[in-house]
Amino acid sequence: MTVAVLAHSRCLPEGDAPRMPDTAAWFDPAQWLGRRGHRHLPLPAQLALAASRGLAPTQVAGEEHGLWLGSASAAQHCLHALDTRILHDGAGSIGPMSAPYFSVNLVPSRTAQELGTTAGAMTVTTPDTAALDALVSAARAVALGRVRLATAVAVETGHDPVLSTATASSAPAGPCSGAPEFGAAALRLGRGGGREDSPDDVRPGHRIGLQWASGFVHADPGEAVARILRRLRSTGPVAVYGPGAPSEHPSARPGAGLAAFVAVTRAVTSHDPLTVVLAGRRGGATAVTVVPAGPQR
Amino acid sequence: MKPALARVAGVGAVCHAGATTQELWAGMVAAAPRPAEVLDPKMDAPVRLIYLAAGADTETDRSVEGTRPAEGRAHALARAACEQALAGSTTPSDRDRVGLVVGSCMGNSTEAERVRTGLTGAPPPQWDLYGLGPALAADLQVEGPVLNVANACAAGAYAVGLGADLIESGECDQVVVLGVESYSRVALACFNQMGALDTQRCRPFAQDRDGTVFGEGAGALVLERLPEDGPAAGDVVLASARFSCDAGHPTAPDREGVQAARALHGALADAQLDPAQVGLVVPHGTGTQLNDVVEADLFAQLWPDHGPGPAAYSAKALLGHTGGGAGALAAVVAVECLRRGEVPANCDVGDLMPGMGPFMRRGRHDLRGAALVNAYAFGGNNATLTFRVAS
Repeated sequence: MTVAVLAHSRCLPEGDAPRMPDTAAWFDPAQWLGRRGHRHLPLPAQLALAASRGLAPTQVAGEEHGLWLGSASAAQHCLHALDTRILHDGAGSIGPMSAPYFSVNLVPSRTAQELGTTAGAMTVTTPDTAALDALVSAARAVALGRVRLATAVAVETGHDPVLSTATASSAPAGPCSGAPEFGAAALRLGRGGGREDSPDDVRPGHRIGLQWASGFVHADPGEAVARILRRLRSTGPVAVYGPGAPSEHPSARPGAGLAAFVAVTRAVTSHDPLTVVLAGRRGGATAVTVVPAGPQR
Repeated sequence: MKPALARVAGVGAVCHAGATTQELWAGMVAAAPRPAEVLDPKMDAPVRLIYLAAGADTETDRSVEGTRPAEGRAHALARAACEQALAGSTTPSDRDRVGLVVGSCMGNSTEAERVRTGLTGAPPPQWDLYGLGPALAADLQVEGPVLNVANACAAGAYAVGLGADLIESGECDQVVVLGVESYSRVALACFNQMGALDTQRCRPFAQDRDGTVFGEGAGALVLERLPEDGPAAGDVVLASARFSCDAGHPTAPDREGVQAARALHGALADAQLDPAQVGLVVPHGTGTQLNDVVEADLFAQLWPDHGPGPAAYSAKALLGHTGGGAGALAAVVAVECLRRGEVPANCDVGDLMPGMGPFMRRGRHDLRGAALVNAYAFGGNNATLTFRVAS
């Protein structure tokens, strides 16, 4: 199955360095979102909103437009803050504006509201691979005709400090380790055919296709990557991200879910064919191939 | 042949009413739920009621019966439900054609909160807040796509629909789909702060309902690709799955229920079902004020004369509101009713809100026709599933 990439956007520091930022110090909500209407939103919701605002407005009706948000860390961010508050100051200290955010699917809520995506709003939280899983899930919905247009957003906001300390012994070292990432990126997908929006920086008359595969291999993380590539029949350039990728893999790149998602957006921009693999530490891997397509019909 | 997305090859459940689908059915017939107070010493909010899962360790709030050493509470519930569901099905030899979709709002929060409280040290190696998918994939030897979806209280129903997508896209021949939730201090505290909890019990569609009451549980279904010549007579099939989003208020449903109605009508249309052909609705009905009003209005719109209206069976009145597990457990309830051809009496919730009396029946009755499951959630997330018996 193949779908078309129509637009992309990134909420990252200026400079577009290949390594994702490991703090949110660079993110000034007022600069990205204006001065009003976002202060009660937690950081992951602000980042998702900022990334989605970088996409051009669409004329496609909301009932044909769905939103997919992928994040392996947004819930950790929100739940850590709420539980810490409960433990220190009691349950009664939680404010009415922050209480709903125990539910991670509130993170895309404001974005869904702004985009008017009444076809659906999905929140994907698969460990390590959520960013590409959301993108693939959105692409699948487009390909199956569930929606005409899909906006996929990846947002990452670091780890729960208590839990990440507790599980530190299981975190692999190396360039693909699960280092914290802070930022967001968005892609807009459609079926092609010329009725949807035109992306700003995709060559006029051309569209970028996406293909995908996803799977789970229990024996060896390296085998998971190899098997996913076989499933995709990928023969072009490959970039492997995520804590499950073997650091000695020739295509290993620094970073995890956000880096992988951003790599897809960069390939879309440059029109370079590329297969991006995101490997989780427990054997799961999801891959997306960016296929520069011919002129649209 | 009427359309269908997948064959339901098996179901499993662990919940307040019992640790198997047989026990769930017996609990539905007995209709005698017993919510209790949570024992979490750090839970200081006023309303502490919960419908604990059957076999729960009530001394520590820590584990459920059959929990393995490296498992958390939600993991144990989910694994047991999945193993039941798979017991009656044949796993394809090509395991990378088997997928897994987990719906859960809070994931492994029970264990995360115990770590934060200092009640336990490090969680098991490679543990993750949403590690249920990878952990269950290892348990069940799933080698196809594995996905965690966290669409709050509709997550279980979304898992069912997304699982069907994996089959329709050609990526899988069999998908295990489930919804699961275990106790979470954070969720209970936040619902307290929102004033959304009932102090007595979960009373969906009751005239004097006062909020919901959480429950623990997991519901699982095994979906399989339909044979080329269609399902066998007597098979239960997932006929349709539709989603929508209010894209409005973060927590309150749209009072007019426009998008919820769109999901419902879309699901009926996809399944080529006339409202009169629906014999059972397992509603979302939580016992919160506005949710139940919106859903009752949908009943009134679809079946204005109540006849031939379907029965509404409230799973939450028996199991509590199992959050991300609710949509999947409701689907299991619907499938069991279809297989047995009957709907047990609802748990007594007191006087019903106007218009719901003809639907929320107090006695058991035979089931004729299809079953419909609604699931709604924070974020304006709506889902409707339909199931029927193939003829």
